[in-house]
Amino acid sequence: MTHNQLFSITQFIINNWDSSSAWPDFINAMRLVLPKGNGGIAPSKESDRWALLPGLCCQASGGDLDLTEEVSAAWLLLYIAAHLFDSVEDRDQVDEIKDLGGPGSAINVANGLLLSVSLILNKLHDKDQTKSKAQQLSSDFYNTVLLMTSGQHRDINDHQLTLKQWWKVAEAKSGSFFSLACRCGAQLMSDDPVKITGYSDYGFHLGMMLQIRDDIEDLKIFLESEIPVNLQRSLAVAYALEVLPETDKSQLKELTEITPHEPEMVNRIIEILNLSGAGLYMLAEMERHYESGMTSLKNADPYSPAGEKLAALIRELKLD
Amino acid sequence: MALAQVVYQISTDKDFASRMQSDPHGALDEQGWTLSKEEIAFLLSTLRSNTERSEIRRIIKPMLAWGWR
Repeated sequence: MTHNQLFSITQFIINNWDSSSAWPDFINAMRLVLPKGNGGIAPSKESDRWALLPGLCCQASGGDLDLTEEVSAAWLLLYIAAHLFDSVEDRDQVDEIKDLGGPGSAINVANGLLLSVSLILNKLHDKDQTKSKAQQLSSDFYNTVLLMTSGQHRDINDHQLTLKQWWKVAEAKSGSFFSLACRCGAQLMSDDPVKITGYSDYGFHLGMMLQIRDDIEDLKIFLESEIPVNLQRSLAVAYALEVLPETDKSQLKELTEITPHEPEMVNRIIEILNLSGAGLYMLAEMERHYESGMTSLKNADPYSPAGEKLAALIRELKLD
Repeated sequence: MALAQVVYQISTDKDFASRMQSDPHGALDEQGWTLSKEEIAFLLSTLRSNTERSEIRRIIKPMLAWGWR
C-alpha cells in the first residue's frame, strides 16, 4: 500500500507538470528530487513515508484516498522544497544538490516545486468533493509556509538559541508542517472539530519528535563522521546552556564556537552534555510528545485500520 | 522549562534523584516544580531501570536517518 500510494502521488505530480508551462528540461530537473517511482528519480527514503499522512488521516476519518490526491502531492512538494532550501541555507552537502548541479540550480528547482504546490492546490476548486474546502485548505498551506519560513529565519539569523527559542523554532518549522499534513487530510472528510483537532495535534507531536530525532542524528554525524556539524543551535546544547552553572556554560559555548574534530574536544563536549543530563532530557521530551501524540490520536479516532497505521508511525519514532 | 530543571537536578544531585524515586510529588513540590504524570512516569522508569541508557553515545547508536530527508 505504501509504495503504491507514493507511486500515485508522484505520478499525479508528474501529470500536472506535463500539462504546465514548465520546459521539459526543467521538469526533468524537478523529477530528480521526487521519490523514485514512475517519473521520480531520487532514491526512496524512509522519510518519504510522511507524504502518506494526509491520506491516512482522511481514511481514518472515514474518507477515501482519492480525496487527498491534491493535498498529498502539494505537501510532498513542499516537504522536498523545504529540504532543498534548508540544505542550501545550511550549506549541507546533500546528494540532491550535487545531482542538481549546485546550490543555484537547487534554489531554482525548489522555487519550481513551491509554485507547483500552488498550481496543484488550485485544482481543489475544480473537484466537486473538494471545492467547498479549497479556499480554507489553500490558506492553511500558505499560512503554514509563512510560519515555517519565520522559524527558519530565526534559526538562520540567531547565533545561539535559548531552550525556549529552540522549541519555538521547532514548533514553527516542523510541528506546524506535520500538523498541516494531518489536519488537511482529516478536513477533507470531516467537519468534526474534535477529529480535526485530534489529527492536527497528532501531526504536531509527530513533527516535534522528528525534529528532536533530527537533532540527535546531527549528534551522531558529529560523533561518527568527518562532516562538520554546528551544534550551537542543537537541542542538547540549548538545554545544557539553560541549566548548567556559569563555568560549564562558558566552556561549552567556547567548545561549540568552532566545529571540532579533535577527539579530546569532541569527548569534552559529550562529557559536559552527559553531565548536564542532555540525553535524559531529549528522551523525556520524546516521550512527552509521543504520549501527547497518542492521546490526540485516541481523541480523534478510537479505532480504525488507518488509525492503527498512524499509531505505528509515531511509535516507530521512539528511541527505546 | 520545569522538565529541564528537574532533569538537571536528577543528573547532578543524587539525593534529589533518590527522593524522586521514593516520593516524586514531594520532591517536586519542595522545589516548586510541576510535571505531568507522563513526564514523572518516564523519569521514574529511567531512574529505576538504567540511567546509562540516556548517555548520548548510547542514544545515537541504534539511530537510523528517519528525520527530515
